[in-house]
Amino acid sequence: MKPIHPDDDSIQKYALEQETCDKEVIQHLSSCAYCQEIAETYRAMANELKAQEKPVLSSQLEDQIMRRIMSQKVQKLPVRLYGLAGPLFVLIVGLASLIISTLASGVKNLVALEHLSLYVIIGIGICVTVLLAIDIIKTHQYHMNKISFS
Amino acid sequence: MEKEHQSDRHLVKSVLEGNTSSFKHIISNTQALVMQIIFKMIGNQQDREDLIQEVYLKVFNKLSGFKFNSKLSTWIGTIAYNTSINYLQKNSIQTIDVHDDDYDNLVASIRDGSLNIGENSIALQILQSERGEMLQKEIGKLSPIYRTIISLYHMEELSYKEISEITQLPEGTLKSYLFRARKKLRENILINYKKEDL
Repeated sequence: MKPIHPDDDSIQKYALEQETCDKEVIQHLSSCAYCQEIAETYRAMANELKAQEKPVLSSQLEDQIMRRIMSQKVQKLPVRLYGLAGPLFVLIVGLASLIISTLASGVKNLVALEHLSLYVIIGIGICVTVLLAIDIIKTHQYHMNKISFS
Repeated sequence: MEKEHQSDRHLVKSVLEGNTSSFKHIISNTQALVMQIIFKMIGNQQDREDLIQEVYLKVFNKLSGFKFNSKLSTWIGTIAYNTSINYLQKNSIQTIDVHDDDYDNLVASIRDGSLNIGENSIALQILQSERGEMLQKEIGKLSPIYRTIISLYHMEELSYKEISEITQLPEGTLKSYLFRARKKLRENILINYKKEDL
């Protein structure tokens, strides 16, 4: 009757990660010269792989990489200013409406009650723009602090 | 580990503040890993150099998006791995062997016990005597993913978790590839020994 050997994965586990190996496999290998030989080849292979020389980046290639990086625009964490686009648009529309309206009715009527709605729009536009700008700057600072080691 | 993370944070912050020369430290800390991946995945020397440059330029340009969810080296390893995979796919190079007759025959002969004990001794002798050169040659015959996984595990001594993050392979799949790669490597040594009739 042919002996039943453990599969190759189990022998590899025995040779290289014995702590994860089943008791039955350990027991079998302790008395099986055939499987022991296989396990030994895996150990020898692992040792040889570990001893292989590691590739090293040539200084020429490293300089080339650094030159390409230096030639790029210095990269900084982007400040996400596009969030201001909406309120700035409202502000510009409000101001443009006010100018057109003033030109049509004369400078004297600049403080007339009919312009109240425009002032409200412009006021809201200014407030939202300022608040968003503060928020964007704070978020940027938060991200910078997050990557800073303390 | 925590120390490594702090050093990563320090380097990333320095580069993001505009100190590009700090990037040189990132290169020296990660070059072994990047080269191990590129060299194992790509055969052509000129393409390897181009890809190494491409990897580091990508790292530089994406650095502000790095979230510190992993080690910086693991993140850079992932970029190197993905860049290599894209290159292989672009050049229609198979990344993994699905089927191999020689291999399957050998597996069968081991299963049914027809491969005798002497052949294992021979493989052991080869590994102990011919050493590096033979092993390098045989590793070169494996598929790119097998070569890379073997190198990352045995040469770079990365954990399953780190290799899994780099290759985006589930740990179970990764282990099965690693076991199969080692098995195939050993079998290749046996096959070639027989072929060359040493």
